[in-house]
Amino acid sequence: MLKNLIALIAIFLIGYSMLLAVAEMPTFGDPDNPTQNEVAQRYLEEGPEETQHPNLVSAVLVAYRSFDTFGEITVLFTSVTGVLAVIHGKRGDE
Amino acid sequence: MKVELSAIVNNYHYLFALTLFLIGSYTMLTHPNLIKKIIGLNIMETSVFLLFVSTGYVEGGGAPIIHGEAAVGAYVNPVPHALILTGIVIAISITALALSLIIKIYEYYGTLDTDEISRLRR
Repeated sequence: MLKNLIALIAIFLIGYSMLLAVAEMPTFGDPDNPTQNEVAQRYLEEGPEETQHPNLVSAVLVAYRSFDTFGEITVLFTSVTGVLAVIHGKRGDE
Repeated sequence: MKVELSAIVNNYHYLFALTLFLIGSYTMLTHPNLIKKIIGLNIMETSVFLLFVSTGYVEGGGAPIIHGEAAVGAYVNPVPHALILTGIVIAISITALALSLIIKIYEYYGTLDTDEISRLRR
């Protein structure tokens, strides 16, 4: 199985390069990680008063980044349109 | 470049994401069945979600649902969770569109095997 061998070699190359990336990542669960920046800090401190909602994930989704959620709904709508066009669609000349 | 073993051992959650990614891409590369390719694609997407959500974790932190005053470091980062919710929706959209295309391919060729399809197209 030459195809499986080539795939395995590619997998090992990808895996080794990603392993090097994992070795450079900041420590898991450290409160001083670069992801724990001022954005998350401000959401945690000001979020419940500003959005009147205790669940911060939904506060970020529907209040702070509602345009992002709107784009997400657009993606979902486009996907449904595509599925219906592929399954039920007809050619233009029919 | 020398790989620090302690850095890899401390970040073993990222290693799980890496393993899932490799399993998914191996499935996509080797399996000729189109449905199994889509399953591999979903495993790869799940690995990316796991990697993103892991970056927001704080040691000992709870779910970001605030009751009382917000203590620093008591809650995990809510931003990756919100981003990954968007990503899950996009993954579902891709899966639905790909499966509908596979239905059409099956109706046209009568098989899901990519080797068989390329032999039929020749």
